[in-house]
Amino acid sequence: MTAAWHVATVVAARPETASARRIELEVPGWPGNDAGQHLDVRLTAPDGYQASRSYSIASAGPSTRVELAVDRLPDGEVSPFLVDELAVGDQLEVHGPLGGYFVWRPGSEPERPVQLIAGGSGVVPLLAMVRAHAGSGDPTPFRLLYSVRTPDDVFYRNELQQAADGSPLELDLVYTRTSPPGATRPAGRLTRETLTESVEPAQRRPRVFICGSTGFVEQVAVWLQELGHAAADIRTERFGGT
Amino acid sequence: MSHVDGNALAGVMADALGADVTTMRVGCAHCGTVSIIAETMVTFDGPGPVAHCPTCAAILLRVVSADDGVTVDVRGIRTLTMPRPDERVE
Repeated sequence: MTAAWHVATVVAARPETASARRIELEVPGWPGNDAGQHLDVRLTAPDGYQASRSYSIASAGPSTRVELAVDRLPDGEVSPFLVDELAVGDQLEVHGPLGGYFVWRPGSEPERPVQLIAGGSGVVPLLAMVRAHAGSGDPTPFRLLYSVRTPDDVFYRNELQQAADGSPLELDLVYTRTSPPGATRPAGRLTRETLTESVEPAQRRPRVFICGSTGFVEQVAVWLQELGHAAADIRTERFGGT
Repeated sequence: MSHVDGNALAGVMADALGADVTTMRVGCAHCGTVSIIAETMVTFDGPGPVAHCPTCAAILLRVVSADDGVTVDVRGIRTLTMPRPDERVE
């Protein structure tokens, strides 16, 4: 699956949350992608100015349909356009699939459970892994810890709930600002104690994938190592911020 | 310092070298730490991405795109190791 530049056409777009949008692209020549890979989007202004940014891919597999879920960064150069202005039928330059590190493939090390940990929109590449896992019938135990501000900020809520109900996925949601009525845990930042309760224990040697803001990812990775997880078992993807 | 990680180098380096660099291991010329490029710290404060050692924060490499090509300044690197083919993705 060699990376190359492609011209993608927007075939569908809809709001994912108040600040994010799900965008479906048709990309002729796209070689398919592994779960967890990303692509670069390049925009060119009428005066020739170019800006490009990396976005995780929410879909996985051999299809030429590629799905993104983009969160609007208030002072971003590219995301406000993708969330607010891009229309069905528009074309975009995309470069990918990119990255062979933060990926999960069906059939790889099925004897070890997989622990996914998402902060906010960092759930997108992890959703691709959940989809690849569910779609392949792979027997690897999968668990997702998803830290998110409020119930309204959850990406792919229905799909994640369905995966959790169908039991290929164990889902733990941690709300940092507002929790839903009846929640057992008050809203608040993820703590080491909650992390300990909500992830596969180190004795089971899970393969861990963490994606979120830099501060979130680095804090969680430190806690996991304090809990006995080996650094080599933890793969991270950090997208900046605090 | 706000930073992302070496996964963000994948696109520009694929353009420059035609290969996925994110799974390569890189040895820091300053402190000797060997890290996977995906796990390095990357900043975008200048004309192109700059990768830093996750242990000592020294600059490992800088990427500068210009009209005549893409230059990768590698003076902060002691070693660069390609993963074995069975560890490789592509």
